[in-house]
Amino acid sequence: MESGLKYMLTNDKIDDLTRMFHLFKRVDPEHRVMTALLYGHVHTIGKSINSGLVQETAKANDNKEVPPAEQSLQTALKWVELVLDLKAKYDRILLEAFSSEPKLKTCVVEAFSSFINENPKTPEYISLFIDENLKKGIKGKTEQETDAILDNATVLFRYLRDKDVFERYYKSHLAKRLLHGRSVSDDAERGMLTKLRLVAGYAFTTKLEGMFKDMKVSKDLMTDYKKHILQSRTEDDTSPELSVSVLTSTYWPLSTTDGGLGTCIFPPEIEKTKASFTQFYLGRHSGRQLTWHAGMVCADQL
Amino acid sequence: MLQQLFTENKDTVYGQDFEPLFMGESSKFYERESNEMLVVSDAGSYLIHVEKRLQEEYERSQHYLSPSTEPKIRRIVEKELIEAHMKSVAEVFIKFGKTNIEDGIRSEVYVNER
Repeated sequence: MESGLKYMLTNDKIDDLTRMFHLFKRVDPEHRVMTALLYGHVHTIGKSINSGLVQETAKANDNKEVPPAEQSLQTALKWVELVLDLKAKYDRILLEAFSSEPKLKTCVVEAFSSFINENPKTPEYISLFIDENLKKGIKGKTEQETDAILDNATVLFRYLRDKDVFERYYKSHLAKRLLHGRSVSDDAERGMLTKLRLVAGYAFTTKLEGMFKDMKVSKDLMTDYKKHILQSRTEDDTSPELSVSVLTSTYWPLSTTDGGLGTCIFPPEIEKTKASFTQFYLGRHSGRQLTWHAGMVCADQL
Repeated sequence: MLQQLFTENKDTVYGQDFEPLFMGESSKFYERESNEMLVVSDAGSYLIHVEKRLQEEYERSQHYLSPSTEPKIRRIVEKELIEAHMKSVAEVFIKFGKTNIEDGIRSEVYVNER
């Protein structure tokens, strides 16, 4: 039966921890003994969260009913949930038992940072967690609740050393949300972007903000294009209605080499509509090049 | 007369004969006590006991001894009861039980919800 620091931490023995903290402080004002053990303990728990999920995935692989994408989403959400619970637990211990002592606080931060960065999947997990909550999770939640969830995600983002990897995932998740219209709220999206900017700086979010700008410009452009079409349209015109998002290629995670440039053969009706839009667009902005991403197309049959 | 006894002067009976003896005996007593207690008690109750001893010595020094003795005797309790055993108190019994990892995380993480 354990009864030392580990036991007290595991079982939230706030009184015992407070006592140990104050007594040890008398002879060890730098908290060397406690920080060493605290770091080791938090780090071990973190590593088992990292590896526990790896096992879970391997087990779930036998179960063919769960599609792999769904499964990795579940793994990501579970990981984030466990880490956030752990964070909440240690925030409470630091505050209530350790009088928010800076040395111990730093020690916990270092332990979190180290196990979080030891797991190469963390950037993807955090981005998936945000994606899930900006996609549908916040339906029926109040603004404050959403904000709290996104704040939690920011807490984890803060620990990430390799923020570029996160940006890659975030960009691709954001692109899907924007292009497929699956983002629940524009305010929440922008709120999240502001949080990321506060942590990682302006340069980090420039491209992400560019994506939002493209969407807005495209929306205005489509309004104008529809007006333009209505003027030239004849009564018996049956050409399909077209909706286009014009995106700046450097902002968006869309490869210009794959995605079927030229390899996709559109039906003549669509080709005609495409040509009409191209003409309209280049008439407004000469010197630009439009590249059609056939891989991103979706069509409604009426 | 007692006041005279309590002066910081090293030449007094208090300073020359009583205090060193008192310190030496206290050291020995706490050394033995802590070693005995750590065998039978868990870390939590050991720390409660240390707190009690510190308080007792403080009160004793206020009521029966010279105020100048207080920091000295406090130092002895701190040294014998805390400093000498910090590591073993913090790590008590770790060697006996390694809880399985799954349970470890679960209790670690979900204890708040119970």
